Amino acid sequence: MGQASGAGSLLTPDPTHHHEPGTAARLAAVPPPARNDLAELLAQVAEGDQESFADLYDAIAPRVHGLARRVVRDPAMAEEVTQEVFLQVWREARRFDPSRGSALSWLLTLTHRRAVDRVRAEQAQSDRLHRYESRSSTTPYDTTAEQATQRLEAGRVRRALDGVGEPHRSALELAYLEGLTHQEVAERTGVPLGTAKTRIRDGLGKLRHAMTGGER
Amino acid sequence: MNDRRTHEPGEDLHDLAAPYALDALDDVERERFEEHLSACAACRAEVAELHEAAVALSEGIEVAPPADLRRRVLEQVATEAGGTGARVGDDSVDAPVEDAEPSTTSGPARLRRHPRRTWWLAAAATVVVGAGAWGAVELLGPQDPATQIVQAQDAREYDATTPDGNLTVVASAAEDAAVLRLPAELDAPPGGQAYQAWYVGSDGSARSAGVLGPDDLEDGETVLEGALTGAVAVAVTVEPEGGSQQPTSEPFVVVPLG
Repeated sequence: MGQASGAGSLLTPDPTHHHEPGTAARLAAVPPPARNDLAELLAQVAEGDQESFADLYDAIAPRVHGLARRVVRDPAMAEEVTQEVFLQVWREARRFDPSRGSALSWLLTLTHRRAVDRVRAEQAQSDRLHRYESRSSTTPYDTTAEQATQRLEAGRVRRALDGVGEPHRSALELAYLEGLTHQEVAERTGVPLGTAKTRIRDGLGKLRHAMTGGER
Repeated sequence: MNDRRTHEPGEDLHDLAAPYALDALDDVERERFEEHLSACAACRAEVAELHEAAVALSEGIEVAPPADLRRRVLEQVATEAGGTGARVGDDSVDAPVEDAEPSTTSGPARLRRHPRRTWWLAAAATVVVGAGAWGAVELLGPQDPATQIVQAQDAREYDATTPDGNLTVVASAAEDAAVLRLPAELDAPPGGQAYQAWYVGSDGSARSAGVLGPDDLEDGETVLEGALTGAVAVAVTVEPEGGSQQPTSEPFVVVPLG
């Protein structure tokens, strides 16, 4: 996006501006929305309530957009995915069935599917695999996984994923956040497909256990 | 369990539930598994549970979309609803009409003061929805400053590339503040030195936006100190430990705000 380095000329020191160097600023943790209220909003959206739709957008857009951004990487493309997701939510809210799962899970499932499909379409179209290939050729998978891990900023996520442990954690991150297929996860991590599959399955199982096992 | 191995004998389709739940099947496998799903209640239940578990994988990676996107989405929905929705969000949106995309030109500062009514509506919406599973803490407590900025209606995101990865500034004129997000792989500064952030004025002046401590580096995100007003860019330099009054080195990254 923006022009990066090389703009140093902007920084001509100006002695008229004296500010004390500060101490380290505060950290961030974005609170995720709660599932019950999202479900209520979705129910109202299903009735065609645009105010509720706006509320739903405000509540969940950062999460949706963050996931889209993480998977597709490209900011403009991520915006399109986010926009498409919300239009789909508007059109299909009535398909959400609270007896079958949480609203948050429904929304994120839509988002992730769309983001992954978008990435793969792009790859097929213009062989954008280089984005992954070049990275995989220069960085071993665990570095990539670390990188993915570091992006997960909320402490609670770290705890949930820490509980998962390696090698399952890398497998989950590569599959979900990098948008790789299990075949690609296997190639990237240098293990047979069956092993990659097992890691994904066991990793999700552990994550599920961690989530239902007392954190909430 | 309804064990239908209709396609490839020897391969248990049930095993595909987990990669399916993470969208990690290729197109052919996905189609095959979805066909199986339509006939296998056990797998449907399994996938639903795995989708719940996968929610944890996207926690903490929130990124506020550009304010302009909200306007576009609501307009589109209003149009689909029959054009009666022009007033939707009127009470809470005053998104800037400028492009949502951060511009790469170094034109005049496009930061504007917005009435303060914007942020608390966004905060209020978050708080209301945040109550529930996340408890009364979010409801009663003051909102985290970074969250408040990132979720401000007019929050806009500006990127710059560094050799270590993307550095992002999320700025809200209404909040008159900004959040700095560091590249995931930013190396620690050399011994005895520290990273320091600066607000850069249109005249090229710099005022400190804070020294980045170890915690900031660890967490990858920090609220910049001081007011956003007047800044046309955010820069980061390497300074002696404890920071400097004015930059003593060339910035290794400059993020234009507009």
